[in-house]
Amino acid sequence: MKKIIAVLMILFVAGFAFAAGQQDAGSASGEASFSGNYAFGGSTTVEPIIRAAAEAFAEMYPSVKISYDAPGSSAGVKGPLEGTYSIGAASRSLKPEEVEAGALATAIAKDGVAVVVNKGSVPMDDIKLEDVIAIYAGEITNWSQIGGPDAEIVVFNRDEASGTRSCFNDATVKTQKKSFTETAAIVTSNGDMVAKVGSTPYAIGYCGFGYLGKDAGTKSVTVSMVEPTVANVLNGSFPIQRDLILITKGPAPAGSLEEAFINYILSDEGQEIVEEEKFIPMN
Amino acid sequence: MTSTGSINLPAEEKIISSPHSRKIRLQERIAKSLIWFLAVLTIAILAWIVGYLMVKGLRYNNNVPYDVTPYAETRLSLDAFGEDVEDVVFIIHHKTRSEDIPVAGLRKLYNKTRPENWGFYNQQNLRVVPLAYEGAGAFSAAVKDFILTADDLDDYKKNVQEVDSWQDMIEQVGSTAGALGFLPASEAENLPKTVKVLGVRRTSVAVHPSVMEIVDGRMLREITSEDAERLASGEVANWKDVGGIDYPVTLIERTSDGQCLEELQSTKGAMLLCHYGDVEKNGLSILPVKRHETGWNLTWHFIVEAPARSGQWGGISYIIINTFFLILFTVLFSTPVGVMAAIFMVEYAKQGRLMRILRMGTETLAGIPSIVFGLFGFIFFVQILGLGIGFISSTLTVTLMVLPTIIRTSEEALKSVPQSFREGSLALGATKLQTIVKVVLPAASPGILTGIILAVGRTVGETAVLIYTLGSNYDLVSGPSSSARVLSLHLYMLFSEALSFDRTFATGAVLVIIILLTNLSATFVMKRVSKNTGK
Repeated sequence: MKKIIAVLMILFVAGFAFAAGQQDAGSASGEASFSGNYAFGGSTTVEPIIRAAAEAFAEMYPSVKISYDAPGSSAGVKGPLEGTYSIGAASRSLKPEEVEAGALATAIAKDGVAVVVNKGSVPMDDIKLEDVIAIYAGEITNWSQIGGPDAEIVVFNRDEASGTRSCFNDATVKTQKKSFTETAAIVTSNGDMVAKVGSTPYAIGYCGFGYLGKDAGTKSVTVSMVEPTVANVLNGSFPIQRDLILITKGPAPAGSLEEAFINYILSDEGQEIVEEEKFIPMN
Repeated sequence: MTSTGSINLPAEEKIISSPHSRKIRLQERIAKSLIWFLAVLTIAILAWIVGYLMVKGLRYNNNVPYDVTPYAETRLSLDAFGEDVEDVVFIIHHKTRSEDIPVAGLRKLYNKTRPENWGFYNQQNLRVVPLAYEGAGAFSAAVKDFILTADDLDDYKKNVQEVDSWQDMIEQVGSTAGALGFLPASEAENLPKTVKVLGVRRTSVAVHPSVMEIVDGRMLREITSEDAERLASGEVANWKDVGGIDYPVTLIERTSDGQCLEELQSTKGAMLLCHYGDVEKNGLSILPVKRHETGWNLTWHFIVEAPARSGQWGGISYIIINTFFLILFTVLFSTPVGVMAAIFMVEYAKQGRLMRILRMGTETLAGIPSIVFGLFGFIFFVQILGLGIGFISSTLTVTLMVLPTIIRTSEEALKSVPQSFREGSLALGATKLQTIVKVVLPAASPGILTGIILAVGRTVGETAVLIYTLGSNYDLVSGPSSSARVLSLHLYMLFSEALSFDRTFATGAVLVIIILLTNLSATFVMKRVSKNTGK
């Protein structure tokens, strides 16, 4: 028993020494004009951009720690207003009442929402927009109704808090004054969407362009023969698109980390991150 | 019944063979074979699960589509405005884990404004240090032209470092982690071990746009590398044989002038093997080719490197350490409380109605789904006590979750210590406390340890509680309030965010190995302890 206690104690002390060493290493280098912990959060679509930018930012200011939670766009708007996050991120535009409450949006990238299907079981490479609408409204339930195999369509939809969902809703079912089918399976993030669609036969879903190709089991389809490409989003021919925004409560105070962070993302370097993560830069 | 004996003695079978005994023997046999079958099935399923996890965790096996064919060139011929120049060889630092790279990637390594990271190509979190030498006349100019193709640049970006000579290039690449440079082929013989050659994949399958047209809602998206070879050798006569449109394949020879490109764009069903650069310049359609990639998934690097880019690059070292921290602190918090509660319940408390209720309470708590504890921890520790999402909140919540397990097993262990031990000790004049500490606890220690190991097992496997209370930061735990990630949570994140399937399995394999080691060490410790107390 004594031996075990001794071993545990040694592990304990070693662990702390290691952790302390790590911290020292962090604070020793670089002249930090910013420091401390910052909590950002919001959209799962914007997450890769913020995470990559936060990593680059942490290299410039080693004593800054930025964390990012991704519960969805709604939290990204509520967060800054309630003070949970100092910067929120959303993949939909602000509603009037949110602007009234003091939310200020800064667009950092453009994005399209592509329709994805399971690669192994769905042979189609093009689905007409009206068919997409009918599938999501629950009117078409079998692939054979649109020229595919005789199999039930497994519809995946996003959670209510998702900006991708609201964007997809605005561009598809809402245009026909219909509403989403209740029988769809709900997934909670873009990554979850491609993972589930990729592993479920006869599945259909949608995700931001940034997530195309992240899962080998999914493929994007053209919507009414329009390919989900950057060029088609920019020239407006791709129907499902939106701005990705960062939200602060009022303008970020001058000289604050939040201001520097937003400026960093809007800089050439930041926009390169946007491109790296397969979103569309603002310029 | 006589039949039980008759099974072991086949000689008797002939003697006792009334219909009744035959029936019973049949029943016995059916029951026995059923039990055997189920036992073998269980073992097979277990072996299959663990085997599958380990195989998937150890090796990856993917078909990845690229714009270029898998054919990698180590010596690249250059177009040099009519002049005849040497082939170029790209070299990298020997610790960079890349063997070859698509030409578009190579250009990005040189031309990005933000320093590029090797992680995009080999998941190694390492800054690229591009090096260039401009003092070799036509050769340098040709390489520069090759690297800057398709980017509207006149000169190298500012993060490309200049070297003084080819010798200097070799030395610098060999001594700088993440370095990338180039040499003329004649200088690239007998390279030191600190430098290795990076192959470049630059052959693309360019096709007439008709090949990738959508017909009846279907199109040819990509082909396997075998199909690409068959197409290039002329074995495939019709696109429909590789899953495309019903149209004959026209193979076009590559010529040095632009003739072949024109021909490609005017012939329906045409296909041309050419350099990726030509394709980019002329905006041709590319047919992506799948490359079969396989290798070790769970490597030494994966275990010792720090995670980066949401876990897509680097390894899981911090996450393993976080897991051990969580286990350590959970055990530290829960063991004293749990064991003392058990001592109270067994040694001091009056065994009455209250105790029964208390016991039922702990049993119920032990059976409550962990997500409920997560909810409680989130509301109580994170919000009401204001500890925030972080290490301390999660440790306390997990402590609460494993306490019932520890109390129950410790209680059973203490109860199983014979009453005579206590009586003997008390008879020798020891006080009650002395008896408990020196006699009862040592005798019960194997059982208590089992409880702790069970608690460790539950902690390692916990995800639901931690999502609410630990957050998802993949840095090392640096203080009580820092958000962190443990193995099970990392696995969940990797999978649910579709970051990397291979890494998910590798993390799973590490988890399986850790649990295996915990159990092995538990049996080992228990053997040692029971040996010692036995003396």
